[in-house]
Amino acid sequence: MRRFLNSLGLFFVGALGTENATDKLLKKARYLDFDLLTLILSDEIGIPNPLYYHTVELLPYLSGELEAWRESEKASILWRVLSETGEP
Amino acid sequence: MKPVSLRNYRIFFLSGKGGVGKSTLSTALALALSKRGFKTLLVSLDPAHSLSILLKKGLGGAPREVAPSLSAFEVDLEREMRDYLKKVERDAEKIISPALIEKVKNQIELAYNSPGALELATVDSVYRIVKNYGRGFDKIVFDTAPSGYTVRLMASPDKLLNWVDSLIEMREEALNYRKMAGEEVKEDPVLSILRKRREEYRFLGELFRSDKTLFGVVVNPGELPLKIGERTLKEIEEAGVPVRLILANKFREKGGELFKKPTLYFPPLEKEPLGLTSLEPLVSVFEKYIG
Repeated sequence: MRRFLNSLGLFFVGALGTENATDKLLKKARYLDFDLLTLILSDEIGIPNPLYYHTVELLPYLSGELEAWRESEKASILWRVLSETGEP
Repeated sequence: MKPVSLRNYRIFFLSGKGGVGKSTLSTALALALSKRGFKTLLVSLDPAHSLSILLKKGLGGAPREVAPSLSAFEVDLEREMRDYLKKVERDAEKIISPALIEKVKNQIELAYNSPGALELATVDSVYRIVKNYGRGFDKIVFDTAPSGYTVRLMASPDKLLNWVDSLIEMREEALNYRKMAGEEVKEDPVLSILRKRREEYRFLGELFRSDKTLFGVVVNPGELPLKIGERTLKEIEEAGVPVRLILANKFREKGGELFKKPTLYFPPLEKEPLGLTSLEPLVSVFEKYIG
């Protein structure tokens, strides 16, 4: 019985631990996608992208994150910048 | 300075402000090359479509023989842009939920009027034409050169290629994390698009800086037109692309070298240039320098 409980405990640690690691990896991947979107849509945070006509081709494959990017990344970048400089 | 020998070049771009005679001189140059037996392709990237008027022939989107050894065609850049962005929209429709698609389409449509769009469409066409027709023709003459700014973008490949490389790395890293997290990662369209663009930028950078490529600047007489011509020349050369020829158009008298460059002088034409025979006085100038 004790051995069983031990194994059960280890199982949960393993299961939860793995899930955490997976989450972390997916989170990292997601942030890289955000970075890519920031480069493509840099115009939205005030930095022109002279290659927008070319990079727009990538948009269909990244647009699943478009709304999330607008809400979190773009907002946080703008917030950081504007809190330092104030709104024009 | 050594006189220029036109036979040494394969690809020709004539730069200069609107109305200086780029289309007229490009046509005369292409005709001169074809008369010397070089199989020549004349391409108009000029949105004004002056080539078909000048040749008095309807030109379409595919090369058409207009004289022995000379084929010509006009690129409809606006249509190219439309077709390209429509394809991006279709790609989007295939994968994006109906709830989101309108927002994404609006974002894609912004590209029509984004700064530099027409210029980038121009270099896309140059890339495709040289790749598709480079082998079938001895010489290709473009009647419009991309602007100094675009030439600079394409001719400084280190900067541009590093930029694309960093995007590629970013994407590869993201895919690696997904793989490690146990997701199935298939052929990635983002990577293949980025790699295709990288190849395009590399190719154009080499093309613009090649010693087989001739960039010429067309100038007209008068202090102001000459100043403008000199500025165009500087823009191109600052991009790391040598200007090999000045084409002094509509000059009644010959002068020396302009801007310390080999200079060809072309007389004003008696009549409006319409039809190939009307270009004869210009063609004969080029023929002397084919070598």
